[in-house]
Amino acid sequence: MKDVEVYGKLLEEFIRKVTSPEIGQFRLEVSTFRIILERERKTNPILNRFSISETGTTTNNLNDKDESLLALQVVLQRSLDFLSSLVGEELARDLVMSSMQDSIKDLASHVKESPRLLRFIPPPFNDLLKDMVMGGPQATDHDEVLELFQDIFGSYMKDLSAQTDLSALKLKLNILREKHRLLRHVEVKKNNTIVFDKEKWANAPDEEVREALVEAFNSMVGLSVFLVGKEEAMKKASRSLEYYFESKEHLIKRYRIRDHIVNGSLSRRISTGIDELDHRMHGGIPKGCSLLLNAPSGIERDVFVSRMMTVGLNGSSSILMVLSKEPPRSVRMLLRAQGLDPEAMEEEGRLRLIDWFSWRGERIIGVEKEGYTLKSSKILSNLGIAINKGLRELTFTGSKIGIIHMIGPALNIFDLNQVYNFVQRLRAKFKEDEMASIFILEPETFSDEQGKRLMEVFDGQIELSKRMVDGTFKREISVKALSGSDFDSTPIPFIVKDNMLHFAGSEPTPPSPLPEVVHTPLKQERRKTMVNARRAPSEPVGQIIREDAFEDIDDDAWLNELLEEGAADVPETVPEVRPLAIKVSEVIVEVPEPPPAENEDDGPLEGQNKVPVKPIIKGRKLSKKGKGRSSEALTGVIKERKALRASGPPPVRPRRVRKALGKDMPRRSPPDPAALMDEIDITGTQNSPQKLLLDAIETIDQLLEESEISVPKDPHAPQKAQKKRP
Amino acid sequence: MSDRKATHIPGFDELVGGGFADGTINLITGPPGSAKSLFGIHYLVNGAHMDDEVGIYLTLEESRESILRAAKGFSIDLESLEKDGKLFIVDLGKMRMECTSSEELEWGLASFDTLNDFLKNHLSFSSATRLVLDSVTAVGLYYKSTELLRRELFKFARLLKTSGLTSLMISELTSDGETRYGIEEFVADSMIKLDYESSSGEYRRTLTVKKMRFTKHDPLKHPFLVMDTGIEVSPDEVIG
Repeated sequence: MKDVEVYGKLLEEFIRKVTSPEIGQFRLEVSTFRIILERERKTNPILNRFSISETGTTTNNLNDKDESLLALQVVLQRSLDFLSSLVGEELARDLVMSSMQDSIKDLASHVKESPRLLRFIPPPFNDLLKDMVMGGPQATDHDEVLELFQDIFGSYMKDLSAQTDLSALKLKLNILREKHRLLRHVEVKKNNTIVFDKEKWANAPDEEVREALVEAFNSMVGLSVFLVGKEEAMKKASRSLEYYFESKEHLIKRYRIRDHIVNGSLSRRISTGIDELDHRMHGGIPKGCSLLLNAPSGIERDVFVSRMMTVGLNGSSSILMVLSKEPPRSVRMLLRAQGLDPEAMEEEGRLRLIDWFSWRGERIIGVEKEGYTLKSSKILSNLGIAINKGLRELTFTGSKIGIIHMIGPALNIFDLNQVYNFVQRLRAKFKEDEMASIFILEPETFSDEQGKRLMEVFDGQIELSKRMVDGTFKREISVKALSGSDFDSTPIPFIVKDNMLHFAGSEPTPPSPLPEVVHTPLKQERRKTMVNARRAPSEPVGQIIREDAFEDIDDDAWLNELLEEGAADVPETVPEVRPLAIKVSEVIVEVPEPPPAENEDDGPLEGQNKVPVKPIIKGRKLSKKGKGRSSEALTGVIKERKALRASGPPPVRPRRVRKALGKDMPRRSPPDPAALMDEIDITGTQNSPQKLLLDAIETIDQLLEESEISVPKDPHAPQKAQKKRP
Repeated sequence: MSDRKATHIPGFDELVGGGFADGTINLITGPPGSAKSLFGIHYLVNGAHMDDEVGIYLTLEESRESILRAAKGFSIDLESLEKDGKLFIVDLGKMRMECTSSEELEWGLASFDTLNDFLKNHLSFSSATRLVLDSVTAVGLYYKSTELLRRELFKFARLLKTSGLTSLMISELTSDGETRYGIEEFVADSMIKLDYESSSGEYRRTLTVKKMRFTKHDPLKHPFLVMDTGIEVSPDEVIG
């Protein structure tokens, strides 16, 4: 078969595929192709020898010359462009890749015999053909990308040489040659052009080629930043890539160039840290997009956010985080647990924490700076100032991610309009700064009406849901909306195991390995405490309990976790419980006896400052959200705790409790804690449950007077107390 | 070269196209404690540091020591600038008291004529391009009739404009939100209103550019902060 006939067949196959019902909603009409051909005939009469019937079959009387192939290439390219204009470039490519796979198989043998065909077949068709003809993408063929970079470097050298002496750049390239062997095969000519010895590069894997090219390119951008300033240099770098890589998207994809050049600041999408979710959004959150993360409080959300932050900071992103439910030190601890150095990242301008939490406990005037943390007072305008300052201080060149957790608490203080306007301004600002952001919102904190209104502000929505189905929790994450970009809204079921999200059908490992333990902030501590309480009394356990850990605990999530922990004891039907019932939070805190230091001066090990623990027992009123929870369930949980307490060693004395409750109670001989727990009527049907609770506290106080604890603490926090020995 | 005098107050210049237009008179108004004087100090100090321009701070209300002390609170060293000849802090009230013993001058009052004389002399040996008059309200006390004050103020404004100075005139606002004499804003080319207001149980400071000739300015009300290092305006945040 002649080349031109093969080409005609390819075009026919393409028309057949994209006009078939299989293609779904993106199906095209045959008439579209007839119109395209008709138009092209006007500029290229040679195409009169080629026709497309109303059913999509082709008649091909073209001769087997390059000009004929070129004419057909134009028709194919125009058709593809039309499809791209309808569904977007990425989706068009995906459609071709998935639908043409089989059809192209038949053509592959012809292409193998006649390699010139490949020159005329545009991407992504030629990628498919190449794969088939050569058995997969050829890592050894880098000519195309090298030629492009040769041009890019040439243009850069020309521009830079007009402004400065290029000796610094040449020196830098020499240094890079030590690191990247491939760069030894690059010659800088006297006329300031660069020539690659392609043969020497030919057998290198894609990653090595990319690293070498990216390093060289970054050096040029670096010099450019020095000469014309960061903004201008970045624009130029972006323009260069756009210009030279226009219609070379396959190369961008193959080498992931945008993700690597200038720390990924030229990439168009930001990863959520979860491959499955990224795929649903065709690569991640588009830059400049603000998405609403509609997720109930709980471990799922904490792990999701933690994962996004870790992947971003481990990669090339910088992060701005607004905290309203936990102090910055919790986030730092979390990051440290992931093997990151938050302080260094703050210093580097890669991480800014905006503290909108501390105003509840301390007096903050306007916006205050503590190290690199910006603390804002309650009012939203000050929070806005702090965020803008933080944004300006993110000086790292990589892409920017915003994790904003303030809407729920703000709705409790301000009216919807104020919050709406504030979020809208933030979104505009983030768009301007090309920051991809997620705004966390707990579904329990707003009404449907408010939710609808708030949704208007955002570019999209990710929903993380958790519901009880047949006695087990069913968790799903899905993209609910994403404006300006195609997305797949199919929910992704997942489970949480070992503090990681595991997706159905996938190996229980995240895309890139995380350290085994993900310490989520305060709620995680609370969860561990509950787990600790379930351990056998002889098992050594140790856990920090801080009073502030309980300040903003969401009732629903707390109960969910509590119920989940004690699911075996919980009846499935849940009668209503009176809102004024008492919830008793867990307080078992034990720490193994630390080995005696050989030298007292040695002090605590790094990262293990030892301070006396001040555990607490807290009586809390159930909010209205507590309605509908099972009193039996609570009773079951309490009884279980009671049994543990009765059999285990005495818990630690909660020194602060009496102080916090303002009671100056006399000491007395300790009653049996089990009997005492029996007295507590969590449904509030007996007299003064608060008093009984206080009695219980007092008892535990007495029992644990001699106890002492060592607690792993934030190693960067000042040591506040000396350890004591019993 | 720019035809504007940047204040270099973070966020402010963005609102007014880069700074105050050269040779203009700009009114800074606000209730007591709204950081008007601090704004004036920033204007001169930043001009000296960043643009190498000489400034004059004419004070009639506060003593020189008081100004120095206030600036020190924000880590601004005015004395070193004075030594370098970049800044002149003139306590006009005190100077007048030393020169005469008349009843009016015992209260440190000065007329626009006095200011005229002083500036003419001063400009003959200094190359000042920035001036802050703190405050025009104090000068107004010299005049018993508004008519006279208006006439003198216009005369003085003409002198300022022809002298090549880009001036800030500080003026107090009454509780009604009006300038004390009701005529200051007509003389000035621009009017910046500093204020504070209650919001959710907190006080916040606000800045509004009410008027600015020759400039496409941002007329919205923006919050600003008085930080450890001085004033910071937030152009991205809008109130109301």
